[in-house]
Amino acid sequence: MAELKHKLKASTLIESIIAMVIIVVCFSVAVMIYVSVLDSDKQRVKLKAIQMLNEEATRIKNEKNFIDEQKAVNNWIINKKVEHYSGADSSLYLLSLVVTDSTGKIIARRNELITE
Amino acid sequence: MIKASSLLFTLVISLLIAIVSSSLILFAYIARTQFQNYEINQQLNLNADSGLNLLLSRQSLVDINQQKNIDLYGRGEDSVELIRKTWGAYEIAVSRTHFKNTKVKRIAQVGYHPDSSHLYSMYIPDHNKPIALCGKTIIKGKAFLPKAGVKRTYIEGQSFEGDNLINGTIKKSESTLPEFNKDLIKNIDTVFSTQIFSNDDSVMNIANQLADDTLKNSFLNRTLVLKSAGPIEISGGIYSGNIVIISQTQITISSSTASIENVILFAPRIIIENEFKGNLQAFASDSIFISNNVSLQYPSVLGLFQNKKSPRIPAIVLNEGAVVSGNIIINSTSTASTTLAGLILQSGAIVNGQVYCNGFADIKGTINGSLMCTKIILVTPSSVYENHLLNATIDVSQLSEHYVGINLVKESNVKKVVKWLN
Repeated sequence: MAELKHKLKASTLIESIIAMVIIVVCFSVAVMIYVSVLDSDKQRVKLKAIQMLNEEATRIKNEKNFIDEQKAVNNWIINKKVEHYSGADSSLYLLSLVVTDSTGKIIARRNELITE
Repeated sequence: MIKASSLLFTLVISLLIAIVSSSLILFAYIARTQFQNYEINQQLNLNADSGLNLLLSRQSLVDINQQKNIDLYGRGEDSVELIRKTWGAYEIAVSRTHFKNTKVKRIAQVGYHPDSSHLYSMYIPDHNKPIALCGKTIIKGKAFLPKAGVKRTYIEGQSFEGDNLINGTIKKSESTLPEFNKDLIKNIDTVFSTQIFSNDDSVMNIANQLADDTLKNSFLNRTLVLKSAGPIEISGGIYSGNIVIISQTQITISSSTASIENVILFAPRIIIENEFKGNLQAFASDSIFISNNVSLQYPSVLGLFQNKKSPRIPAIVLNEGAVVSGNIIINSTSTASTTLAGLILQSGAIVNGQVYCNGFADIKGTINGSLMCTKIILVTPSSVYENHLLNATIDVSQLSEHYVGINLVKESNVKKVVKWLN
């Protein structure tokens, strides 16, 4: 039998298996983290909802439109409620704005006392 | 020889994945913290604004110079601390709230927005004598005048030049001026008698001349009172905020380089000269003299409160080119017509705001707003005329629709923010 001229250094089977396990664990953890970070996109959605409520409140105050109403914006629904604030004179209102998604889940809400 | 070393390669790759993953975790943590801070700030700002609106809308909620904690929506989550205190003829309203270390505050100088139906150019009580107009006198807006009415006349070589005597409706006035809002001067009067602004002040006795200091005091702190038994001269420096300057004899602002903002001055005599520009409230018992080209910016107040120590004829004098944006109050306690306190508005002097004077008024300048006075006089080099106006302008239409006054005759219940403070 001819003798091999070159030595080929190779990993043992155990070494290879350990390496594969480490790689798999690392990738799993990395994927979990990535999913978790992507999940923080909910904050972006909430931020968008808050901005939308701020714009809506500014519009209501400028237009002095103090009636209850519901408004659909994209896939969301803005519920507006304006009522006299108890204990104050008639020019003070409690403006409540709530954004819900199509399933009725509340995304953001905003309460403010406003004057005429 | 080819090296295998799969474990080593794996460790290197794992390290890279760990670095990327920890960066992602850090990014997510920072993003979440920032968002939470944004949410808290948004809520605190809304609550602070709501608290101030509540305080403006319901005045009896907090007594003057008191503070109160309010739960805005009854959920135990939105509490604000509301504070009211007087600031000269105006009021200071404070609304503040906090969550952990995040604090939000609103401090506002508050006044009364006059109802347009209560705004008029002139109110002269009915003493059975007509008002005589001559020269380029202009009166624009609703006017309450004596039953004898208004007439054109010829004095000092000048006859009335306009087409209409009054550009607006004329209403009959009562025999007395509308009653002055005494609540307004309750605190001011006590300062003259006690030399104390309030019991919680930080009092500092000063020498006659204020050095070129920089003094800024927040309205959340105790009022800083600079006090002297002698005259005080302000020849420079910066004085801003919650500061009261009291002299038992005289205060002189002698330099245009002095910067004065929101400060209150109390002294028997107050002199403002040398083209000074600033924003202040000045209250005197003898006289206030505003020299040429001085500009007192909105919301400034000049108040003259006659008392037993006042001279025979106390007066506020505005020289040529002087501009006062705000209010002028003259409270004459004398009943004799020869010792009434009064206002002298020289030619070229301008008042943007309301004037209340239960004494005499010699108007040769311009009032972009309204004038309420007991008696009009016209002093010329040759004579003194009663009930005459020469080259005067009183135009209420020039008063800004955003003007907020001090409820001189309780003409309004609508409180508004005059100015945001620190």
